[in-house]
Amino acid sequence: MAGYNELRGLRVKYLSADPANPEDGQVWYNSTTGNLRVQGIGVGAWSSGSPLNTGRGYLSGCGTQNAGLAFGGNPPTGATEEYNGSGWVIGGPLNTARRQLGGSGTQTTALAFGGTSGYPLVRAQTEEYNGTSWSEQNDLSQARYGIGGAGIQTATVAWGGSTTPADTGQTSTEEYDGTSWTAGGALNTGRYATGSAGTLTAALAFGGRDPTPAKTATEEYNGTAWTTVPATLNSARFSLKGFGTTSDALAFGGEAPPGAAVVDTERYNGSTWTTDSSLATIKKGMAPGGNTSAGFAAGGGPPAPSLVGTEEWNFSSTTITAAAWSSGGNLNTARKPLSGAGTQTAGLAFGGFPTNNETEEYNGTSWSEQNNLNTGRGSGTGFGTQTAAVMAGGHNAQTTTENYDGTCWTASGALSTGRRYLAGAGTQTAGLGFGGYAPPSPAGIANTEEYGGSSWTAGGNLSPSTFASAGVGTQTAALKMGGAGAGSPGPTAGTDVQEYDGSSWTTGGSMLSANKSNQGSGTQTAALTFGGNTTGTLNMGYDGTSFSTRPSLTTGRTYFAGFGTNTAAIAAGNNPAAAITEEFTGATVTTNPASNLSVS
Amino acid sequence: MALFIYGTATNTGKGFFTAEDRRNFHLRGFPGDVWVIGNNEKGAYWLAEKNGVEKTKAEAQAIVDAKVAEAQAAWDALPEEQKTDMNPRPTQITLP
Repeated sequence: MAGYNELRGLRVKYLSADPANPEDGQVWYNSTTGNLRVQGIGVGAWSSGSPLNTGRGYLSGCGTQNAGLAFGGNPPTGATEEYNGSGWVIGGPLNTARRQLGGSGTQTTALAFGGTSGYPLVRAQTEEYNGTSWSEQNDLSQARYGIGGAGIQTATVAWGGSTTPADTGQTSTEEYDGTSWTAGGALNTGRYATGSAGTLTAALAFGGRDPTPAKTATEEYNGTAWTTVPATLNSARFSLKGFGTTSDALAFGGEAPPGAAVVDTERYNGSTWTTDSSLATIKKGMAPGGNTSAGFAAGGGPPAPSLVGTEEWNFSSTTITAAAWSSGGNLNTARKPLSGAGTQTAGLAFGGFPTNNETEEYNGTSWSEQNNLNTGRGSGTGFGTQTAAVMAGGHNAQTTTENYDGTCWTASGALSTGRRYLAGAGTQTAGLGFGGYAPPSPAGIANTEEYGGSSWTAGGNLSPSTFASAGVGTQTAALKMGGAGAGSPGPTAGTDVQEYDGSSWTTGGSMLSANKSNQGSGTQTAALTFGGNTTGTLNMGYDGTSFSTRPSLTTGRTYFAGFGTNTAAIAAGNNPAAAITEEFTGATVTTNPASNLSVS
Repeated sequence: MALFIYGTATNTGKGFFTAEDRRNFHLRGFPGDVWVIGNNEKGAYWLAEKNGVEKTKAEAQAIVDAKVAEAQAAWDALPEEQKTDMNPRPTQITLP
């Protein structure tokens, strides 16, 4: 057996204290504590990722954790979504809507085959994805659903499945070369809804059904024939998913007995299956992607309702803590629609509909009452910091502007155009107010005004005019997300996004869903937008180019205050008037600490 | 096994649910202090720890319906000027 010296090219050091910056995997002896120590032992675990836009089960997937693809699903759909490791965005739909289909390849070179569009429509159709759209290719020789598959777009093996509602498990195997399917060696155990891993010349099939009971059998394919290996799953199941290789694979989720989805995860090392860290949520028929170092499982069921959730698998010496919302301290005064400014640990909430003048400061734990606004009002905009904030405009269509200095509010120069439901960005000495609404006109306001601390001057107009949008950023790099009146008559929610450069607005990447009365946090190139009239709990992130999903709010809300950054945000208040607060914390990566090694 | 647990619990603010809770189980809040909780060990423990009261789905839905009806009545009583605002009449919520 190779020793540490041979493996690492290092000797085990004899030290009186742990080294300051040990390398991952470094081993040393701590003579003070008398322990043999190692830095960052790798462990595998599932953590929550961002949700799919459309919850569904019996879908397929491929790719990697940072470039994944999910497609198809139940009810039969062609919906396709792309994952970047942070969130899902909509891709081009399959030409043939279906569920229980097979999948292989990458996010930009994927293959979809087989499935069912609802009995008796069992499919043989094959489609290739190029990162934008699916195109039809030559069909499988045998139409089937619950089909297994592994490989890349130009070299895929497909096996098993069922051809009829009688749920008879098939043994037939077909190989795809990028153009057409040809027959391969037959499975030893006919079945459908197996787990899949590997490549065309080194594939792994495990579990499945025929139709009952659930299987534990594992077979390996060498490009010609299947061999049943001695190793069997510890947990018999079907509609499980997998990824990896014939020497290092993961099997997770599934169903056994019928109607009972499971969280079980097992890892295969080429000879045995060993139980590993469980999924957080029972699920079957998910979209899988990745490998045993970094993968994902998106959507799935138990049978109904379908799940939107994504779980990410990571095996490393670092621990990834997924982003999430948590409850914050409740406002002392429940209200809507209030304004806010500042950060998650130094926040400010003020005003509310119709004439609320309360001001509260947040310290990251609780809200405390402060001196009131001079003019109580809601529906204005707020920006700045806890000690240098601005409230401008408000119900009904006010021009009123007030500055907060950390203690008191003082009247400042009025907006040129009175309005409510405007958005804002920036600081007390370099602020921005844009869009809004002045009843009874049903149209939004296009005007942008720039604030210098005491007076407003005209900036570039929004196009299209908008009200009730989210605004973040600075006076010279602002972002408007969604809102009403954007590109459609009347107060209809829009997906429109505009970026301001200090003089004019230009169109940015569209939001994933139309929204209004949503709030935002962050900057023009690292923003969040959350809540709103049409989506409630939806949370999206923006990187300056495009949007992707983020973990959802716990309570859907509208007409609330939102502020902070894209990794530390606050949502406070709600409609009807409420005091509830949520805090968003972005994902973090930490290195596992050094631990003792036991020597036997 | 059912996918969700339904219950009522008062949101006491900071710490009522944590980021770890959100990662451990599904959690959604609805009017009437109704919570829809992922049906796993940690979800069930959370509801108990918060002195929550487990409800059937029908019971939870009835609580939400009553709160929505209350909000609709409040909206109906608003001046017409406010109804033409961006403030839409609260709509029915169906629990998952």
